[in-house]
Amino acid sequence: MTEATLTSGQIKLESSDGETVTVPLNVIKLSATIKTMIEDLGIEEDNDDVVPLPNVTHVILNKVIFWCDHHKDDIQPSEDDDNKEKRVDDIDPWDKEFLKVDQGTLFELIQAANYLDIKGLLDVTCKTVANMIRGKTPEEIRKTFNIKNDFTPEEEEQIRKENAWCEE
Amino acid sequence: MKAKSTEFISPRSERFKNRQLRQELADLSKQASDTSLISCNDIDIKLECPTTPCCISTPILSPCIKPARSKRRDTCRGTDTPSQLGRAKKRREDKRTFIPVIEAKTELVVTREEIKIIPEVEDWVRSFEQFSNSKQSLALSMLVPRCQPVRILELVELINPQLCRDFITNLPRELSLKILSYLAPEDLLIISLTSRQWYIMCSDLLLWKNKCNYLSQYEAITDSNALRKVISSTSKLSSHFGPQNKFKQLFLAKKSIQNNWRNSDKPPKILKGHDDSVITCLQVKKDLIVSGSDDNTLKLWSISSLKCVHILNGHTGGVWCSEFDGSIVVSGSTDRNLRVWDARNGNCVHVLEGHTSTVRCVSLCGNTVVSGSRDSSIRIWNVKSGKCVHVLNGHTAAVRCVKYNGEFVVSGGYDWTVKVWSPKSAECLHTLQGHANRVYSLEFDGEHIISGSLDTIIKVWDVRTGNLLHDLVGHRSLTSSMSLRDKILVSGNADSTVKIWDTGRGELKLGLQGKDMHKSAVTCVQLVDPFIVTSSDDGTVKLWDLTTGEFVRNLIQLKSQGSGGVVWRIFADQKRLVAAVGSRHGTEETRLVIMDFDL
Repeated sequence: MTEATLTSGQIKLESSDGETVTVPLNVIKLSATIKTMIEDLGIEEDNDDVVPLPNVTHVILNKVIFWCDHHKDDIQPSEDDDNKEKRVDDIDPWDKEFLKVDQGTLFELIQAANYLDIKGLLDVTCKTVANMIRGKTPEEIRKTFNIKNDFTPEEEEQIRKENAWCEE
Repeated sequence: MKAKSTEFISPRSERFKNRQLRQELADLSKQASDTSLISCNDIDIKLECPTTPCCISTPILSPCIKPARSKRRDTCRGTDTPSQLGRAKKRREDKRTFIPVIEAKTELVVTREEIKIIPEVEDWVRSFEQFSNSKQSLALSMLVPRCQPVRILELVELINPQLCRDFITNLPRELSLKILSYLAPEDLLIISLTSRQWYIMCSDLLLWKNKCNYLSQYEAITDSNALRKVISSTSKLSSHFGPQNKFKQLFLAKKSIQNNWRNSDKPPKILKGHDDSVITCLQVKKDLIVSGSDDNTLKLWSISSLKCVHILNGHTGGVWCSEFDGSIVVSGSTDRNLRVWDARNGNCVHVLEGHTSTVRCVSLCGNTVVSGSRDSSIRIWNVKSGKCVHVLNGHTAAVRCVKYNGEFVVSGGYDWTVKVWSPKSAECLHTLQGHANRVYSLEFDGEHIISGSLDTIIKVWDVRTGNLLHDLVGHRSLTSSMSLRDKILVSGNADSTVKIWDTGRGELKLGLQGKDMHKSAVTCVQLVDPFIVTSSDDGTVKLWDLTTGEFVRNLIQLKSQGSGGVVWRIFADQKRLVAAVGSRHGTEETRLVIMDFDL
């Protein structure tokens, strides 16, 4: 595949629920999985080949494409960034708005970002969940995510003791 | 892997869940039959229906799907155990390998709760289930407006938990850990109390290893009372959750020591010596303290036995500077000589003669010691042979400070310059000009030279090019002491203030000010992450928060503070503080104050 194809071509993706979406290559190139797939398979421009995405529903796929379209001209984060200090206060306002979704959608977006290997989207979705967790008490977290406390009283006591080393 | 969320649903939502499950099953079987690309690995899905207990076994997608016409053929991974199911693929290891996943779809088990079976309701629900999607939507849109408000509230109660996701439990392990990696260690400890699975995830070894990234800070902690206490007090947890995470324990021990820095009121230990003389230099290595004084002696002290082990007698003038590597002590004196001492027996091994005036500064690295003198020269000595290897001439006034790292000698003098020398060729590589007064202090990290001067400005230089990188402007007097770690510089000044700088950007980060600031010239600063320890002519040692610049507390307050009590020198590491204190007018005995925070 030539560089020209990457900038001008399109590709058809099929969601798990059977819907076909046509996406410009310069948008979906943010997905390392699809980019590699195209390169390996040598899909030509205007080819009728459809790339099946059996793990992504069309609702989520459309959201992912919407995100990629907004970020298609961004400077891509490098692997080195993983070693940098983990910041969570740097979420782009557009992303913040984009991620005002229910937990189910956020959950599926994380999985889709992981499957499609879109580093930027995976980072920002994981940061969003981290921000939902930060500063909450265990009880507030259980309420937020509908989690049952399954510790025995003894276990809970032991963990509190462990944490007590950290208390000022 | 059990989908934990299903365990928490209330009996009322069983039916809702069952419908969802069936739908999922139908979708899955459809996918499985539609897609020839998918290789299957059988996992049973058990669906227990409250009305007609039954068990439906359906093949579910395996986590492996092969892209069409891929040149590669990925082998299918087994999914027998929860850990395997949850385990993440290291796709980045090989970008060209596709191992897509369906890991969220796992064995879903709905346990039967005690629900009264009312046949007419069952029939009604069954009819609903048999509707097509659009009919179900229509039915709901007609049903909801007919509900009384109290039913709507019940509906909300039923629906809300369905919208929740336990990300940490149900996402693949690598993704849960990625989320947790964005949280501070303190947060991890608190949220680990959410549930057993959260505790297990929040105790992941690698997660904590990455949190303890400044490993140098932890070296001192690996042998500490605090760590031993943490390990013994958390041993019971192992029986519930498996082996304890050593990095987490290190973190807890470090926190415990930090809390002692903040709060401990344990009385300090005192070592009296040097009569009423001034302590000019102080070094600490493990159990040994070396103090040098203008009473012509140095003393070697043992912290554990609280005794003076050796008095190093021999200089015929005041000792102005010393270095200590744990086995040998090198001292410089107004008697123009340096002396090399054996710390084990206190014997003087060599007298290094050659300077023609007071030896003002020394720097020891390996077997080489570099000395700077008021005679304007720098001498390089071999401490084993006691021979002078080189004389570096070039400064035109007294050499006040010198640093040697094995590669470069850097010196600052009263001729307003900083010089970079090659110790091998004895050449002056650069003369760094720019200060408008005497240079008093240096920090050198092998790359950048930081110089402090009476001209109030601190300068950052590149050792290789000799270029001036930054002027750090803000102090109003002489910078007497500096402490550098990474790109963070702490400077103590005769103007009584302490400032924190970013030497990479050349910017002032914080000024340690306010009502608790020192009342007189700052004598020493030391950066001991996450704190700064400072001492002053005002007779106090203060503790500050490195990140916020906030005053934490006075660690030492001499009785005669403000009326002659002085803290001349301090040494601090992660676990302890040693301060050399005394007074100008005999109001205070000269002594060492030792505070231990590893309790």
